[in-house]
Amino acid sequence: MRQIKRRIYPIEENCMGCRLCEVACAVEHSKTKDPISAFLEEGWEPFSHTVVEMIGPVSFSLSCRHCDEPYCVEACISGALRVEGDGRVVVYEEVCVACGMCVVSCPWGAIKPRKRDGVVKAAKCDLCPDREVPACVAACPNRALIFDTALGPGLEKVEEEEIIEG
Amino acid sequence: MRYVIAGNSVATVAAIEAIRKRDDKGEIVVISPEARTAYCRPLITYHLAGQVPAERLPYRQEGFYKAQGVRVLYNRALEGLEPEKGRVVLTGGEKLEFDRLLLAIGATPFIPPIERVEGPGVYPFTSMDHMEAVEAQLKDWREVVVVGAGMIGIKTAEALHARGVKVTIVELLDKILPIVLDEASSAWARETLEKAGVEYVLGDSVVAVERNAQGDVKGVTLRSGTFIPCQGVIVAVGVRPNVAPLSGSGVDINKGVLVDDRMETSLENVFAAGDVVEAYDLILGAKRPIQLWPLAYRQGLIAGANMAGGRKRYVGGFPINSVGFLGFKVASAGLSTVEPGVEEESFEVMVFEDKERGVYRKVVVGNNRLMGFLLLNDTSRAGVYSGLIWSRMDISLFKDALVEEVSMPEACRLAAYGLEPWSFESMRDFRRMGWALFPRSYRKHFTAMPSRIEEVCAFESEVCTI
Amino acid sequence: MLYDSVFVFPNFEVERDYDKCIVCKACVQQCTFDATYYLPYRARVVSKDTNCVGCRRCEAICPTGAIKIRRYQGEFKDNAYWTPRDLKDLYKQAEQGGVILTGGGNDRPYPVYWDHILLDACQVTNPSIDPLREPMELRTYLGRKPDRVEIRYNEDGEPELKTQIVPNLVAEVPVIFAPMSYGALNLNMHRAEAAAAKAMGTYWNTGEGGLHRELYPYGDHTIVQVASGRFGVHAEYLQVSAAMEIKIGQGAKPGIGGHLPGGKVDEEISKTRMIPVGSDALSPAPHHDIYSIEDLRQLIYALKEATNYEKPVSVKIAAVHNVAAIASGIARAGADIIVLDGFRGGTGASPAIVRDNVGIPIEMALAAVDQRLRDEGIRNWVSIIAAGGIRNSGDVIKAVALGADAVYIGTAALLAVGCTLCHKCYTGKCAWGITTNDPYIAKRLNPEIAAERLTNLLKAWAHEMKEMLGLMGINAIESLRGNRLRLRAVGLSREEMEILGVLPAGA
Repeated sequence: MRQIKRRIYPIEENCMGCRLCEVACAVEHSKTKDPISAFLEEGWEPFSHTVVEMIGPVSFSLSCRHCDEPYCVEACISGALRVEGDGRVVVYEEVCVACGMCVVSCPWGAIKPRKRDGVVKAAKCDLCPDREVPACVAACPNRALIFDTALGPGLEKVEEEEIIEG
Repeated sequence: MRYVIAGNSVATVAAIEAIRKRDDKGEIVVISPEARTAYCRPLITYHLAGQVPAERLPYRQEGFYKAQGVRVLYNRALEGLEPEKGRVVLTGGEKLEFDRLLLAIGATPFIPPIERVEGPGVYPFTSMDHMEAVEAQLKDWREVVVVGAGMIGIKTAEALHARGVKVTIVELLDKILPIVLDEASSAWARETLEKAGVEYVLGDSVVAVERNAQGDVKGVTLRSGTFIPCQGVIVAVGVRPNVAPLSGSGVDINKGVLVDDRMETSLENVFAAGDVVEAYDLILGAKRPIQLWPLAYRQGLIAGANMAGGRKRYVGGFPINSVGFLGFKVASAGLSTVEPGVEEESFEVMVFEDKERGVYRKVVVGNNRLMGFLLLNDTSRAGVYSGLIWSRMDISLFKDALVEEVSMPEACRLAAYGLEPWSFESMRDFRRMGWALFPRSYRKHFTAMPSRIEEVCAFESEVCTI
Repeated sequence: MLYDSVFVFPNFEVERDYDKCIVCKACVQQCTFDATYYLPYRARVVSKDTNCVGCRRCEAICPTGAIKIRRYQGEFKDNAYWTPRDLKDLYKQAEQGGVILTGGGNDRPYPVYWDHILLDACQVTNPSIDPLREPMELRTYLGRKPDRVEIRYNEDGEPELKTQIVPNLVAEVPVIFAPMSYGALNLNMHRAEAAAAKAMGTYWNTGEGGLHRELYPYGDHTIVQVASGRFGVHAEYLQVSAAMEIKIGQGAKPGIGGHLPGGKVDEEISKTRMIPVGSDALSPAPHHDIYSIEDLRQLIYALKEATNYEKPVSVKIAAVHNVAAIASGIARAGADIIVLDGFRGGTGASPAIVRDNVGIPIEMALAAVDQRLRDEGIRNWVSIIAAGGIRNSGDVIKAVALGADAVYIGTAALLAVGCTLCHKCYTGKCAWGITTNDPYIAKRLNPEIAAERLTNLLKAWAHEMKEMLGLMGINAIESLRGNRLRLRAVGLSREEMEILGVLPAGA
């Protein structure tokens, strides 16, 4: 079985560090989805799942890689992080107990605690279920984020992994 | 093909999922000592505190076993192993043949030699049974002594405190969370406990449980002679691999069951995963038991894959912890207890401390590799450090940036950060902890492909280029 | 403002609507001229108007549209003679005692002859052509054409060409990207130009800074320049090209040389230009080996010899007063293509006084050169490329009717990828990432997007040109060349019309 494995890839050469992806992500995950309200009026703190890392000319927007064998899913003590059938790694917020294990284990720093209405939950990229193309990708003025919907290997019957020994 | 999995917790679930990725026909039998589906063991303290309802405790959704085609034998534990006959002995002498066996029988709480420790009112706290026993007696308890200030001890103390019980923690060592915290952070933790009104006694141990004529607990006596009145005692001084059922079976055992990098024991077709094993420690470079949830999952997944004919390697693991109690948050991994200024010949320890914001950040570097870290309160990018440990990369060129104030993205969000106006130039020259510091080939590899970092580590010779 | 000289008056003001500003600080990160900055204590982004150059990058990037760049509202006392610009320039010179630098092209209100020329169209007696239904050819051959074509018959009695045809460039669209050097532009822009030229079957010109090795695969669509500094000129550079161009002058700064500051010469530029890292790249005003048409002929033939007479050689001169005579000399010196660069042509850096006061309009120069070459009977020896201020496809058509074979677009190409004509190219801080080699800023120009935009521009112009040819009843652009009868002038003096060779409207 082959299936669509969707991922966002940063293109380092094109990222100019403007952080509009962060703005777009925060807006998309706000109450009103309006940029001005999201930042200035809503009770929720604006929160972006993607993070632009920048040191001079090196910059790129890093969000969840939706790994095949996610560190966060391993670390989650409450079963709130799961790999969905389509390969997305998803937080089930109602199950999350905000223990922070996923935050400590994600090497990309892509999971962060988010406080909303006084409750802290793990928050991570959800690939914008309401949008065809994730907000960060759509907002990038310089095509530094690519939304790849190419056919990837199915989750069943994976090819055997060749592992380089450490 | 019959896969028999002894034990029913996270390693078992991971193994089932890994087996089913490769083999959807083989028979899977799970031997579950408890009459429950696999549940989130660390959540029992949250449940006791009333934060998580019972229906949220199962680790996987309802119908998991059925959907995966798994037969579960409830209320039966592994009693023995007869490898030459290819079968296991269960509670009551029942015998079960296997083609592949996974030992995921976990660990058992260690009960130190304390006088009159046997009997009602004294419980370890590692399973739902313990939780329910405590819950049942909680209405009679006004004061509780928690023996051990480790992870379980602290979380149980927090839960009991939340339930209105007066808690006293007794710890043999002189630190709170002795295997995680160092002196400085332990002081922060003590302050947190004091503020919340949780009592603690450090550097002392319980020598006797005092009971009244009916056998009920009325207090404990410490080695120093102090008597602490209480109605209940929680013993949380650690767990030991549950190797008792395996004695005489021929499996190589040290402290735990010894496994190779495929999670196979010394016996063919017998695998082991989880708290019962003694597997490779990536940082120490030796085998030792590390009883942690994420490692159990990883080991279960790798054991399952190999049982079903795959070729996956367990590169190693290291302790990763994230604990929050009473508003105190700590994230750590690896050798987090190394004190600054001590053992200078083997470790380089870098510390950042901001008393006002309650931020404490410490990284331990040895042989130019990140060996461990400890973060208090501001833990939002802790995982990036873990990734560095996984990678075993030479970090000599940017190690100084690891503990600096905040990472650039955080700085941008913290409106009040910094006093100088930010100009174009200053935003360009931010040099802070993050992936942008890492060598180009390293970061490009992992931003392009979602690989396991520890499995792709040909970066030893490369150093950072900005 | 504090710490500024009291003689500094802003040109623009940054108007920020604080009801809309979400303090994302994108403008701070994007403003390379330090006109915006963030004050942590106030949690506000504020502006320093004196630093604003009016590039409008912040306005473009602001996610909430909170920023507007306006002309500065403060005004000097009305004076029809001393403009605010004169005052500000004068203050600046009194302050610094130096030459005022600028980039871009002449922006002074000299007459624009394109806007005084109108096209003819077919009505009733001669049918127009619908380019959507009938073939329409924009292909242009650039290079020397034979004086006459002779045919001979082979043994089978079939006719074949006896005349030897010298190599020509074939442009599918008569629009070529103008020479702009690597150094003045960054590699991303060169990548984009090369890709777009290849996609559209036309050419791009390296300018005088050499050709980066990464772009050698685009050699078939590359015109390489040999300028007075000879930067980056070597055998492979010449051999990989489609044509070679000797740059004598530049429309924006006729008669003066170039200067790429050492700070801009990074490792890649150093390799490409073949000069040490960090050293100033000085192009002398004249070629020190060319003091006559005969000297020029030597260089032309040296280049031809070096490339086995397989590639045309072009000579680029600025449009100046006696341009017609010079062009005649160049044609006789053996050039295949003459490029005329008008006074509106752009530059990466030039003294403002030169840019604003030297040269002549390309329309006049083009008409004069075309006429002179025709009068001398040598028009077929060379192709003419008109450069310097081509703004749209209408200008292209008018240029062709005035006698050009093709045009160069430089400023128009930069505009297509984001340039807003702030004329700060010489600072190396171009906020749109075009005329900067700072890797941090140059990333703003994504070569892929830029190439797409350039391609789109040429496609659009090509389409419009076909429409215009169709309405004139012409089905090939080469049939329009020099056909000034299809032009009419409005609002021009008799002398101007005479030079342009264009009849007044109504005649």
